[in-house]
Amino acid sequence: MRDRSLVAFTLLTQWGVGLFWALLAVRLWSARTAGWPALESATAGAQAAVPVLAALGIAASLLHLGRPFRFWRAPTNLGRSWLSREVLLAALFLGACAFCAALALWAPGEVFLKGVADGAGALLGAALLRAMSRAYRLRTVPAWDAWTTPAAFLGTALLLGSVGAATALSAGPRPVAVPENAPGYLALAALAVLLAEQMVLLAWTRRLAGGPKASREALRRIVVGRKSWLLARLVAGGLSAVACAAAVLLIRPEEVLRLALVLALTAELFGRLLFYEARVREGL
Amino acid sequence: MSGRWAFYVDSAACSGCKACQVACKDMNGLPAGVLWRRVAEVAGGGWRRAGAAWEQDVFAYHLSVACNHCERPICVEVCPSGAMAQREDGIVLLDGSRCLGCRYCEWACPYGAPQYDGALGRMTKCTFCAQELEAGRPPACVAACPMRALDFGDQQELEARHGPLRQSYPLPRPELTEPSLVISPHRDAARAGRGEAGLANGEEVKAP
Repeated sequence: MRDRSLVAFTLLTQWGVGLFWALLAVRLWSARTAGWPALESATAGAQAAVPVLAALGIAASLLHLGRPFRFWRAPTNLGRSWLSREVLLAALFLGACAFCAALALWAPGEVFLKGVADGAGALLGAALLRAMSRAYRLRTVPAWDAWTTPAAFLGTALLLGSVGAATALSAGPRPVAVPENAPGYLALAALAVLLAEQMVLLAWTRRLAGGPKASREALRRIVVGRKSWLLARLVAGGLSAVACAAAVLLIRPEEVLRLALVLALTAELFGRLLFYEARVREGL
Repeated sequence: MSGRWAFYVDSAACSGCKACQVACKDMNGLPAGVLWRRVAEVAGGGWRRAGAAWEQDVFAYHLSVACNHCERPICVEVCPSGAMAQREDGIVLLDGSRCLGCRYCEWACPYGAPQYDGALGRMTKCTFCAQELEAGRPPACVAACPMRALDFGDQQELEARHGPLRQSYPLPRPELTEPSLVISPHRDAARAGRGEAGLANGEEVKAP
């Protein structure tokens, strides 16, 4: 239960950050051909999904606490603890993206204010991913204390964000303001992230194999103890890549993108479960 | 004088009786499953063919482990609520009223020192029996040891008496947290460190 609530927290908040970035990128890219207020209205529904994802993630994280009603104490050691900073940044990101979604829904004409809020949200998302990565890079857990941890978290955000945005923008009648090929480009980005993620996974396992005893034990847990999870991670990731490639080529990719999103979520879920399974500390 | 309290463990003298473990539980009223001091049972070796004969080189030893009130206490570094704090004399104490029960310190500590109490919904840990020290008495684990395998004192004085060793299998590399600990290792600890042994009671002493 404990790890599952943290799996939900990390996946949902990273998905939220990635979706925020992807939707902002689409709007910036489309701004040359369409007015900003029209773009805000066209993506308002998708923007509203970001605070929902972040709120669900934060709510899930409370489930792992022994005393959940004392959660407010978590951001009180900001000077030393990356976990404390992560909690504060998650709350700030939730506030920023909720404000952005509210502006997109009810005040799309507030261009300057929205621009400032978007910029703040994007930076807070990046800071949240960094704090999250640092919180897991414990020097006593060699499987986590590596560059592959931030790479994996960034990969999750970029993959789920781009596929999620592509799926949202291709669902139903396409808004005139959003370019017709935007979902295709997002699917192409997702395909590139999926390929990069396989490289990161390979680098991680090689690192574990060549590391100290705790690393090798982590690798044994993943490859031998949870080989069905590893297989599910690889198969779902591979199929999601195929679906993304198909979405790039198809004129009406809605159904394929939905499938790609489900497969990408499955791959990320098993990947994250494997990440937590690799928590083997040095010593006792 | 370093001004830092430290534990001394003579692994060669330890018989594995666990009187230290029991005294600690008794002194602090610890529930089942919570062990601030644990005794690791290390066992290794086996039968080897020597020409036409078979010889054995089995060995076993014990190592009593508690919180080492480290110089770089990772529990203090990672605790999000500031519930873990270190005194000037090196003792790391937990303020239970500030603890959320997130168990992050449990993930981080390579000695498995912070222990989760499910009934309280929060962490607990060794206090070095600070109240006993103030009363001029030794920590309960040290007082209970029938083999005099455990001792305590100033870190530098213990090092001057017993040497600077702070690591012995199954403990982690000392540079991770700089433990306030001095060890006289068992003669077979080097073999265990080379991977010729394992923990015989891992389910008892390893933190989750």
